[in-house]
Amino acid sequence: MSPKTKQNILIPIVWFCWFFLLNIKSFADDKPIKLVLQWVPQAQFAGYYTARKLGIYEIYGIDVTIIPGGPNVSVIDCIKTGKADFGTFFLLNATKRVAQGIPLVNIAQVSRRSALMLVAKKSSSIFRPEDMNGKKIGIYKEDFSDIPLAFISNNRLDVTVVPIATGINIFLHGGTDLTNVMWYNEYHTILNCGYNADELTTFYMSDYGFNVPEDGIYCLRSTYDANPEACERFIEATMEGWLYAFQHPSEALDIIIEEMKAEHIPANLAHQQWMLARMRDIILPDGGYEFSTFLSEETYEMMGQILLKNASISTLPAYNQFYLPVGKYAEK
Amino acid sequence: MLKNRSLRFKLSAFILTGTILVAAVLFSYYYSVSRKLILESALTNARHLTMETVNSVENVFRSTAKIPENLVYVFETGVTDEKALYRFMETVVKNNTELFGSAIAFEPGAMVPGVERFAPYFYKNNGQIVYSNLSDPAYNYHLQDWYQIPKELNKPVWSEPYFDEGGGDIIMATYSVPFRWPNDGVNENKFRGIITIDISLVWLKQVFEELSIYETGYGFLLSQSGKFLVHPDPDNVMNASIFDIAELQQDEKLRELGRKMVRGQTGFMNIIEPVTGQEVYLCFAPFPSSGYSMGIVIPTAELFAGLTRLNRNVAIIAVLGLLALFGVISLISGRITEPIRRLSGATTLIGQGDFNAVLPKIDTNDEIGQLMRSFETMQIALAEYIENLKKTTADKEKIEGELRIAHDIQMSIIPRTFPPFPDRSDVDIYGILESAKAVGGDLYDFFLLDENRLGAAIGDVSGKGVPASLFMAVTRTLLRAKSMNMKNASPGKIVTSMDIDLCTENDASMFVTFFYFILNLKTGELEYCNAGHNPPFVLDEDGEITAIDTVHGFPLGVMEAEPYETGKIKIRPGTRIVLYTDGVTEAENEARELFKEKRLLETLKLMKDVQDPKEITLAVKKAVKEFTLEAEQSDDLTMLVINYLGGNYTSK
Repeated sequence: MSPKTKQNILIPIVWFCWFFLLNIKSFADDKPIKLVLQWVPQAQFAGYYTARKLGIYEIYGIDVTIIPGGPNVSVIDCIKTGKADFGTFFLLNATKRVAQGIPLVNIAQVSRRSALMLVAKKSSSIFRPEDMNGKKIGIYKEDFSDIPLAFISNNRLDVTVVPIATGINIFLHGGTDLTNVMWYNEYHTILNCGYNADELTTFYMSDYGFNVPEDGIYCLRSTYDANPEACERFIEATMEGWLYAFQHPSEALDIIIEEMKAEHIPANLAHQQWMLARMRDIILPDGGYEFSTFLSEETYEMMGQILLKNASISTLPAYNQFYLPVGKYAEK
Repeated sequence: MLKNRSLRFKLSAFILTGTILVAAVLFSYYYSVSRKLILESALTNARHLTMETVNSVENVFRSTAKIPENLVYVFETGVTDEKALYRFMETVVKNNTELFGSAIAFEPGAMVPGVERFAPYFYKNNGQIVYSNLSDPAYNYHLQDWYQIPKELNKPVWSEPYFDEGGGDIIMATYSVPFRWPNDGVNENKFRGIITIDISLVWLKQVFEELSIYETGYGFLLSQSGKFLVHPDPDNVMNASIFDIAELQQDEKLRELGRKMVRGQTGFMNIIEPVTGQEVYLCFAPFPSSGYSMGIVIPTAELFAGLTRLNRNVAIIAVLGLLALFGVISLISGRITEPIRRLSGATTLIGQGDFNAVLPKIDTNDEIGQLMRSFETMQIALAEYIENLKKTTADKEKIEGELRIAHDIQMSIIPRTFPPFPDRSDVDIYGILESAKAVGGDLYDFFLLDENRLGAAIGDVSGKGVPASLFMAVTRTLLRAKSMNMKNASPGKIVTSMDIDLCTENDASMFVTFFYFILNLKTGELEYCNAGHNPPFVLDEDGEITAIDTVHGFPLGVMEAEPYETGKIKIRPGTRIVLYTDGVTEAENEARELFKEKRLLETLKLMKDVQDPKEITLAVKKAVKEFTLEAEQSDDLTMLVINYLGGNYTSK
């Protein structure tokens, strides 16, 4: 037994004792919780997988099953049909669903800043937003497109939008001059296709008035109402998972790689390492370990205006209906 | 450091050091040149191997690419019937074994008006040709890379490799060629869709596995984006890119290599292999049609394994050779220096006085032989010289002995018993004669002519040594003889008589300064004759000092001349007469200054109240010695002091 695995076992034991001594509510009578993630296992979800692997959920008195996402998994369908109790969504997408009448509530805004960005090759002579005029810009369809489209419209750019299903190959081949990517994901793929950062111009949406955070935890209003206390424990345990993952990145990466292999997904350590590091920048943008799951009304309104302007929604759901501050990290 | 070492050691050290230096220079040169040659030849071989592989792979890609290109040609020139199209495609897939499948995907409405997606796809499945339409809206082929990229670029494109849809581990690649119609040159020539073929890339793995690159060298293949398509580590295949590895290893050089490769460059690089951590050489070249890039990894250690073995053997031979060389040098230098060492032993003996020590026999006529003969000559000469020296020394010792005897004889002919007349109270005498050499030419003498008359003389023979001493002896003998024969003769007469005798047959032309006086002890009358001698001093009873400075003629033996006259003075009791030779006044100190009469007078002045002739004599002698100090005595030092006490002669 390696020292590391020994530690893995010791930590839950310590937590278990702590909870037992504080005589916090017993978990025996709670029903198992099912969580569905937006995408296949990757470091974007390190907190959930770490919390489960280390038994942090159990210590918080909840039994969590994770349903990995993927191209063939619809998170909203899973929640609607009751296949899952909780799901992760980008804030924008969840808002659209709620606007369509699905009674989702945000119980934790985990991501704190936008990871969305536009990347151009400097060789295309793009250095400022106005340089994009007359260029081809690759934009992922639907869920990722709202903000880039708002950016184009805000900057009154005359660009040719090339809708993209997935990947960056068209950008790499020169089929597009710009492409929208996630900081923690495709941007690194571009770097590791041999482009140096200094050969690329980056436009972080957060720098252009579109700092709309992404990943959050959602459930049906009814799920929350049935057991708000379990929701609270689920959120807090998840954030414990993130804390551990950020404090022990190599251990967290091991857990992620293991999950990826189990799902038969190519497990690229360098890429996952980058992703975990960026998730930390996104979840803890101020550094340190002060977590927050609070969604401010201001941010919500700002995001709502983008959707309204793009006509992605016709009315913005009320903030109080959309977001419920749950657990100790939401106290802001 | 080497100073105290033997010749043999020095010789060995210098020759060996020189040899090692030469060998080291030679070796370094040979090593660097060999290394360069090996590297050049390895580079050439690797380049050949790479180009061979590139060519054979390119042949497959090119010939395969011809299929859709020809299809496009056929298609653009008129096949617009849907049924004919299906038949045609099925035949193509069937007849081309390397093909996995082929699709013709249309722009919306391009084939069937009003139909958004139309893409017949024929592919092989268990030996059967299967038809499917890729029109599923969820798949949305218009946004797939294989469709979108060639459309946007308006040129044929090989796709990034991917795993086949069946979820197996068959790596596939798709070649997509855009087509346009109508191609009649009249109407607008518009983009209408994409023709694709899918091929398996499994054979590529085999191509690379068959590459023989030293022991553990290997080939690898990168996709256009740097992803590994072929690599010995299956975890990397279709998963990691060369840039991912570079990032994990934090290896900037590897990243640079990746950049060169995905840019389609050709080259040769020296990097650290990420897995083994060993230094390797890497030859890389692109597949021009697909944009993939291959690399050949040659472990440096294996590349230079032959050279390393050769080096080891050379090193062993060098060490053995140097040892042998050391032995030979040692032997030769021992041979050369051995007679020198023996000679050294013999010369040590000679040095210690054994002139008969046997010198080693050398037959050679080289420097050592010459040295040995020189030593032999020297030994003989030395022996002779020492023999002569012994004889000479013996002779000298004999002469010295004789001279000592001569000295004793000389001393014995002058009165040396003081006081000379112990029974007389009217006179006291003290004299010294210290020769500068074994025998001297000074003399003094005194004797009683009768009961009341004292005769006394002092003289200084010209020259020194034996001749002077003989002449002195003759002078003294003449003085005694003349004085005894002519008892009542005046000093002048006696001196004149002596002069005549000394001049006779004086072949050596020697002469003697001479002062002779006769003192009447009763009356104090003093008759004297000075033949060229230093004027004596008279200290009277009151301490007055006067010189008896009348000189009556030349020194004796110079020439027979006028008879010497006699001077007369009268002295009173208490007068002291000081006779001396120029050994006193001309005594030299180290600064070559003379003692002079002045100093003698000063000394005598101090002695004016001293009656004892011995005390006066020794005081003068002391003054002279204090003056001359360490300087060598150059002349005989002779003094005679007579203290005339007067009064009646009484026998004590």
